[in-house]
This record gives sequence, C-alpha cells and structure tokens, in this order.
Amino acid sequence: MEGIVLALLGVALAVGLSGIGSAIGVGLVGESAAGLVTEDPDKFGQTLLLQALPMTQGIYGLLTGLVIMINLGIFTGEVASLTVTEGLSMLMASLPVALVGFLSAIAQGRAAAAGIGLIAKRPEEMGKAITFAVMVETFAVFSVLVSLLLLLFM
Amino acid sequence: MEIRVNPTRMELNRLKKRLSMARRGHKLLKDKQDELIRQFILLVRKNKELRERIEQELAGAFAEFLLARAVMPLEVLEEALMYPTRDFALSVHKQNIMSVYVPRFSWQEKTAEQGDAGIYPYGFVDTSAELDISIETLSGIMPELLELAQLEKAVELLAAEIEKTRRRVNALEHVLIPKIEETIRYIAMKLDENERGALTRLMKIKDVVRAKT
Amino acid sequence: MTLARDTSFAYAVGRIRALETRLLDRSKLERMIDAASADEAIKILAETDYGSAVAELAAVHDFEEILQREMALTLAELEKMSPQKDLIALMRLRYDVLNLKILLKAKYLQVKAELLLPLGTVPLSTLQAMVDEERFRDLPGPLRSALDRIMEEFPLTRDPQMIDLALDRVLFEQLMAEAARLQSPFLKGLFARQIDLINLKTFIRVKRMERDRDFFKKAVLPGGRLPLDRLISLFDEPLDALHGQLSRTDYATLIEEGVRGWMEKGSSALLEKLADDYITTYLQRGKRSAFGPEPLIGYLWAKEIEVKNIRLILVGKINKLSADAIRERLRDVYL
Repeated sequence: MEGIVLALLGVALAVGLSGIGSAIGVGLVGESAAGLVTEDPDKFGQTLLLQALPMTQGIYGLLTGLVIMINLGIFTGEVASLTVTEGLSMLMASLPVALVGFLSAIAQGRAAAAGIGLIAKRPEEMGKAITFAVMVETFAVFSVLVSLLLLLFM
Repeated sequence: MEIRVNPTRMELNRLKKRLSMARRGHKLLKDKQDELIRQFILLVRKNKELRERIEQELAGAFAEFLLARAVMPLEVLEEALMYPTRDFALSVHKQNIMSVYVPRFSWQEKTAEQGDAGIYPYGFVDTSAELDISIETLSGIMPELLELAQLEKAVELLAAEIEKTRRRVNALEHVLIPKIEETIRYIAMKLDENERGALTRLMKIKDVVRAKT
Repeated sequence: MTLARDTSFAYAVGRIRALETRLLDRSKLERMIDAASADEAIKILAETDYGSAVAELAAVHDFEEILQREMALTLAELEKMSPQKDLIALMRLRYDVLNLKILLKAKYLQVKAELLLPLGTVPLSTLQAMVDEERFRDLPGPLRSALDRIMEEFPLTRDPQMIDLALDRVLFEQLMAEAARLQSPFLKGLFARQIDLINLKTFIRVKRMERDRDFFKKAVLPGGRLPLDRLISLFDEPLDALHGQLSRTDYATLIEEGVRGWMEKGSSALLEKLADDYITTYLQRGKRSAFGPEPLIGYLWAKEIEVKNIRLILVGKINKLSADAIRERLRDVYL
C-alpha cells in the first residue's frame, strides 16, 4: 500500500507547487496592475489579460494531478494497489510539471508585471507585452507534456 | 528810487569805503565761485565715470544673481544668504573743499570673528557656483559703491554752495554795488548843489553888501 | 533591516509607470521657453498636470508655491505607495537638514525664520521647538551630535558657513549609513555619485575662491567613489591635473566639458547641468526595472528635475532672460 501514498504525494506536488507558483505569479501581476489602474482606470481590460497569463501553470498541474488520480482509479471507487516502484514512478512523473510549473509561473508573473509597465507607456504595444510573457509558457508546456507522456505511456 | 541818506561829506566817505569793500568782496566771491565750479566739474566728471562703470557692473552682478536664483529654490537661496559673514564698519570724516565740508568715508571690512568663511557664508551642497560668482562681483563693487555715495554727496553739497555763492555775487553785482554807486552819485550831486547854493548865496550877499556901501 | 523584497514594489511600480507618462517632456519645456512672456509660459503649464495648481495661482511671481506643492504631493504619494516608508523618509532627510540650517541661523540672528520647506520628515513646529530649546534628542544620532557641536562652537566663531558644512556632511554620512543598513547597492551608488559630483564642484569652487587646501579638506564629503585623499592631494596642482586623474572614470567627459565651459564662459552652468544629467542617467535604470525601489527613486528625481526646469524657465521668463541662457541650463528630462 506504500505505493499509493507516493502516488498521492505526486498529485499533491503537481497541483500544489504549480498552484503556488501561479498564485504568486498572478498576485504579482495583480499588484502591479492595481498600481497602474489606480492612476489610469481605463487600462483594466488590458491588465486583466496580462494577469491571467501565469494561471496556466496551475491548470497544467491540475491536469497532471487528475491524470494520476484517474490512473489510480480514485473516481471509479476501486483504488488499485500499487507497489512502491509503481508509486514512486508516478511521483517522478509529476515532478516536471510541479517544479517547472512553480518556477515558470513566478518568472512569467515577473515578465507580465514588466509588461504592465510597457502598456502604461504604450497601450498600443499590448501584443508585444503578452508575447514576452508567453515565451515563458513554452517551458511550462514542455514540462506538462513530459509529465503527461510519462503517466500515459508508462 | 528814494535814497534816504544824509548828503554829507562824511556819509560820502563812508559810502566810498563801503563801495570799495563791496567791490573787493565781489571779486573774492567771484574767484571763489570760479574755483568751486572748477572743482565741481572735476567731481562731476569723476562721478559720471564711476557711476557709469558701477551701473554696468551692477547690471552684470544682478544678471549673475538672477541666474543663481534661477537654478536654486527660493528657500535654499534664502538660507545661503541669511547670515552674512562680513561687517562693514564705516566712519565719516569731513574734508574742506573751498570751505565746503564734504564727507569722506573710510571703511573697514570685518569678517566673522574667528571663522574663516571668507565672503561666502554658505555651504556647497545645495548652492550653485553661479551664486559664488555673483557674490564675488557684488562684494567687489561694494567699495566702489561707497566711493560713489561719497562723491555724489560732495557734488550735491558743492552744487548748493555754488548756488549760494552765485546768489551772493549777483546780489553784490546787481543790487548792492549799483545802489551804493547811485547813492554816492546822489550825495555828490547834492553836495555840489549845496556848494553851488552857498556860492550863489555868497555872491548875493556880496552884491547886497556892495550896494549898501 | 534590509530593503524590502523587490517584488513588494510591484504595486508602486505599476503606479509609477502611469505617473511617468504625465511628466513634462522636452517639447513642453521647449514651448514654455519659446513663450512670449511669463504669462504665456504659465498658460502652457496650465495644460499639464499642474493645471489645477496654476488655476489657483494669484500672480506669476508666486510660482514657487506650485513647485513646493508639487514636491509635497509627490513625496506624500510615493510614501503612500511605497512598501517601505523609510525609503522615502530617507529622501526627505535633506529637507530636514535645510530647515535646521535656516532655523539655526535665524536663532543666532535673533529673527523669526521664514521660508521653511515643509517637505522634511519632522514637522516644522517640532523642529522649531527643538532649536528653541536646544534639545535634539529625537533626531538620529549623528545629526544630534553634529547639532550639539554647532551649538558649542558657533557662539565662538560666528561663522555661518560652518553650520552648512557640518550639517551637509552629516546629511551625506547619514544617507550612506542608511544605504548600507538597507543593503542596497542602488542607493549606495546613488549617494556615492552625488557625493562625488558635489566634491568635484566644491573642488573647483574652492579653488576659484582662492582658499587653501585645509579649507577644502573641511568642505569635501567623505563616502564617494573617488578616493578623498587623492582629491585633496590634487588640490594644490593646476586644474588640468584633475582631468588627468579622472580620465579613466566615468566623470571624465563631464569634468572635461564642464570645466572647459566654465573657463571659457566664466559660468558653472554647463558643469552643473551635466552633473544633474549624470545622476539622471544613473537613475534612468529605474525606467527599465519592473520591481524594486529604483522606479520610485527615479520618479522622485524626475520630479525634482522637472521642478528645477520649471523654476528656471519661469524665473527666466519673468526676468526676460534670453532663451539661450535658459536652454543652456535646462536639465535633461528623465523620460
């Protein structure tokens, strides 16, 4: 039965770490956006879009967590019994999205907060501000891809 | 003009003495006036020169000060200049030009008792070097300004004295001397007439006496 | 205590980004310079963020009120938005020192101090009471001991310059100490550069005043990036030696151009403008960072320069200064 505990730890890490990362990232952009909107309320829509960017890592983490839970059969009511090796490999599969999700969400938050400064000066360059922040997304996508592939094809 | 004098020979002598005195006084005053005017013109010329130079320098100093003001907040400027380091001790003496007493300044600059602030009573952090420049110019002008004040006063006093002397000279020349001369003429005429009267009288008496004898 | 984490400045930086867009740009200032009269220049100012203040203005000559109000507002806003109040308090310290200088001099002259700047950390009435009672317990340590020393020495020397020199020195010592306490290389770099520039200007000014090396030693501020003893040892050499010594520092062009301008035109205007521009360039990194205190300090400096430029233009316009004389002294804008 130790296997299942390790697998659940994997769920917790995938959802938890990337969620924390997203929360920090979104919060950071939110603070920056609030500052801008204090002086210039018309920019609310644009800043909201930027603020939403670091949310994706949390979603990827959630997705990974759900896949692990489905694999475990939690939703069907018949929880499979796992060996330690099986559990450990599920835990390992969750790590890419947990770690990369955590750090990339914060990094993306910083890039998006800087983008807030950009649209304060040049609202017309909104697209570029988003592009810069979205570049960080690439690595979150890679990590979630690897995590899911590991879980589905192992 | 009615002349009320005793047409006596004594009066005539007295008047003649007065006339020569008035003429001498007139000449003396005239000389004094000429000398005063000469001195006055000298001073005025010097005054004009100095004044023009100072006006130019002051305009420059004000322009410099303005620039210093333009680059410093009012409060900083006020702070920099509120406590002066220099005292001016000024004493006034009298100088005699043709019996006119004109002021003569002598001054002494005193710096803070023991400090070594020089003429700049402020620090360097907030102040602009443009202030240094204008303070330097202004402090250089200060002695010249005092000299100008002294000259202007001298010129003013001399002008008043010249006016007074001129009035006296005119009074002597156009009033007193003609009047004495006329009086002398009148007395002389009167005396002549008296003499002629006495002569006629004598001749008349002589005729009467001769007729009786 | 160290400086707050850079991301804690996110809100403030967001606001600064919006505020920066309202700073007067070069073209506005140029239009003011080209205005036909002071009234015209004020009208151009009224189109900007200064509009409401200008509307309340009774006469052009009272423009200092607008500028003072603008600085007070800026400082108060920054204080409100900064996650760390003592950062802005640090920037207010120089106004405390200025007010102390005025109050001390007024005390020794036995007059009432007018024209104080209500921009410091300590309320003016408190400062006044401190000077009246000669009790400086509530002030930071170094400032307090400097004041105590002044109270002791001034009655002997009656040298007002000593008050300024002593307080300026303690101000920058305090600023450097605070920068070290906050462990902020940015602030340290800022104050050290300001000290260097002041020292370089003092170097030339003291030389022009024909004072000796001992006096220069008293006037220079410690803590800059240029080593003090080298500056002091350079003092007895001709001015050219200064260029040589500085040729490898980033003050080289500033000193060369500034001093040349000074010698040629007899005016320190260019050097002082270049010195301010140098600090502006240093602080312009604040425009690029999305977090940290740099944008706040940069914005504050930008306001100071803006106020300086407006004062320059208005004083110039009121007194019919030539446009060239104004332009020569106009500081680069932060934008």
